[in-house]
Amino acid sequence: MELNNTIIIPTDNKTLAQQLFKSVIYDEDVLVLGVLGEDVKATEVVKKADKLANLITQGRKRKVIWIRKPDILKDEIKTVKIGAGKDFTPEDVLESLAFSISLGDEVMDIIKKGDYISFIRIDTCFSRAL
Amino acid sequence: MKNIISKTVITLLAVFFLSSMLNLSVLFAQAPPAPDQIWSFQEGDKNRKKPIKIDTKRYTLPIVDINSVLTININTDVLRGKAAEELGEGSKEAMKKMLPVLDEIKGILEIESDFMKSIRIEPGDNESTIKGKIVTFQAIMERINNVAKNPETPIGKLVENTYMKALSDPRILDKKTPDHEKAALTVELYSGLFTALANEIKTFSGKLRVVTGGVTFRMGGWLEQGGTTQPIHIEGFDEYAPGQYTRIPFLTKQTPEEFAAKMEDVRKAAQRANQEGISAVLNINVNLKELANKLKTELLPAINCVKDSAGEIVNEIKGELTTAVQLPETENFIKQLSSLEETARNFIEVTNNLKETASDLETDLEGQYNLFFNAQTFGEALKADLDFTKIKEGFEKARDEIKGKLPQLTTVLKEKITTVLKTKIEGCLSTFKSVKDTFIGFVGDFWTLIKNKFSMAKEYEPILAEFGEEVKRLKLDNVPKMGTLNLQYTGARSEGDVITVRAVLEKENQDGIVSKVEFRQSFIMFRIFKMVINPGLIFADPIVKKEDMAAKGVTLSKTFQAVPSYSVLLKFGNRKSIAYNKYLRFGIGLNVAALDFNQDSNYELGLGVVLSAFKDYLQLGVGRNMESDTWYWFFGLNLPFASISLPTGGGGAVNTKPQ
Repeated sequence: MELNNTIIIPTDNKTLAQQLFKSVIYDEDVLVLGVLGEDVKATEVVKKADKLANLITQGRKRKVIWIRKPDILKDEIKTVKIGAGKDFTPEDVLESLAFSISLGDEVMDIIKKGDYISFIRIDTCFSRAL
Repeated sequence: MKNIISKTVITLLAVFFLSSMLNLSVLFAQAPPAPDQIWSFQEGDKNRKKPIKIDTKRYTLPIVDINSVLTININTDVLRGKAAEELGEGSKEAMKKMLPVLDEIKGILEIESDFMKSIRIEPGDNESTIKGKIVTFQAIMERINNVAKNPETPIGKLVENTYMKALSDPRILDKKTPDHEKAALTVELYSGLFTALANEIKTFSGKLRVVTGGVTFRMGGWLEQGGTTQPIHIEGFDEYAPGQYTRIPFLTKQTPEEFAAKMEDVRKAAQRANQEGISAVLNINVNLKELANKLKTELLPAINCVKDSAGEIVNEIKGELTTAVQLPETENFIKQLSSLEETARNFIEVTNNLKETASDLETDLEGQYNLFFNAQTFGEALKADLDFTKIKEGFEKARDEIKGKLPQLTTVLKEKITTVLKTKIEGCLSTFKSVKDTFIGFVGDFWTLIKNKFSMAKEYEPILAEFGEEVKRLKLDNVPKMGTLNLQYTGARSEGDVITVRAVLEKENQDGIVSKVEFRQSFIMFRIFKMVINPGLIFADPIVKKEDMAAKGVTLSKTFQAVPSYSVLLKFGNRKSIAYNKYLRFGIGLNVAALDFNQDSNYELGLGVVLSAFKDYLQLGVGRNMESDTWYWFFGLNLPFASISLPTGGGGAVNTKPQ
């Protein structure tokens, strides 16, 4: 599987994992789609999201981070701010399949484990983070 | 008191203007288009640049101006969809699911241009422009996501494949491709997405054409008034000739004769009010008395008729009894009866003697003795003369004869009574009926008068009219996108009449059975803006202190002087409320009154501003007496009983002005 726009978070080095996560979320000026887990569905999302990350809308670039072992970044994920007016909690983010983060470093959308995994759904997740 | 009145008037004026403003805002409010409807309606006329969309989703009938031109926009795609859903070949359920999705996609395609513009930031775009683009982009993405997020559905699959194809473009996958090119490729992707959606719609339309083959469409219009229905012409959909051109005028006024008659009624009512008080204005006492007299005059012969007939029936029965019953004619019985008769006569005589001599009882002992003797003799004679056993036998025989003749007697009596009832009582009843009709007529006239006065619109009862041969039967491909219904060419009509447009989709199967889907929309007509000239009675009260009036030599005997007047009113209707148009309907205008504040029996001109409501039944305003330069306020009544004869009376003011 060739991934051009995805940073794979290491599963065996917590410090490095935290550094990478924080660096992408807080330092880079991109829309981020975080994918949690390494099952078939998560892998499917990563594949599609990586392709969609080639798109640039309103001048904003995209990036994917693949957190195969969400436990390693449990605290970091839970501390990311939730966008105003959103009806999900940090726990919901941790339990989701994927989530999008805006340039303002806020979680703007989550794809739940039971949601459809289609290009348009993932693209909409990116667009909600604009 | 005057202060309170002035404040009240000002408050009412404010309320009136606010309400009028609200009405105006209502007039220009436009209903959003309804994409799932087979039709939408617009109202316009030659003077209106921008047509008004009619909201047909309201609970009550939509209101249209009585002189307007209705445009019926047919959504032929939805029409075909409905035809496919209800009458087409194939799965009805699948159609039901698919059609709304396709409607939504059509809606999305309509805003493609906005979407495409929103993808890229152009040089010179400021923060607010960028924000606007993002909002547009997000909104359309949400709509596409809603219809295509499930990749298992046909539309979902189409979108998924389009993404897949576009995202596999080597240029977009190449890391070396500069960002501006990637942005351009992004635009291409979305453009491709829209092209695919448009193609899908086209393909689906083709399928629909096949599915809906053989379905025809008809649309007709009717004018419904007073329980009758007549077809009217809709341009493009039928071959009816247009009706007679009739424009309901802006200014509603009576003929000079009617106006003069009404003014005379109002003048008389004013006189009566001034003389007998406000309760006399409506002339109720006179009308009730007239009603009572009418009843008395008409009812008396009817009652006498019944009385006479009843007497006749009794006589008939008596006569029949006499001829039907015979006592036994045996010699002994007759003899006994004669003897009884004689004894009875003696008894009566004795009784009479007793009565006559009662007063002499104390003084005339001989008389007492004689009387006693007579009585004794009578008793003995009675005993000797009568054979009670035989009399009893005679009566028993008579009783049996009566019994035996009773059925015959009953039949005869029945016939007699029936004949009398037929000839006499029916005559009486017709007299009663005539009285009843007179009464109903009288009350009916009265009621009609009131009803016509207070009720402007008829109650709406939908009438199911059938299409005439003149209504075209159109194939779905030939259905025009627009029909025009010019209300001015629907002939004579009045406010409150209803226009109904009915359309049907029809398909005949191999067995000749016709399946139908029907659509219907009715509208109620009102003149939204109009001007009326109405004579009316007003009660005017000068806004001047009593002392100041007295200084001018005027003392009004009542607080309010009843005076005849007429108002020229601009009436505001609206397109939202039937009840408002029927009952409330505010008006504003000028009032010209024939005042007589100085009581010289020469009218003074009063000019005022007046507000009206409740079909002008109630009016309120302020005016100025142009002769005495005094302000006055007034309320007015537009009398509903003007056509009932009103007696004349005297004036309301006492003239104290020195002659």
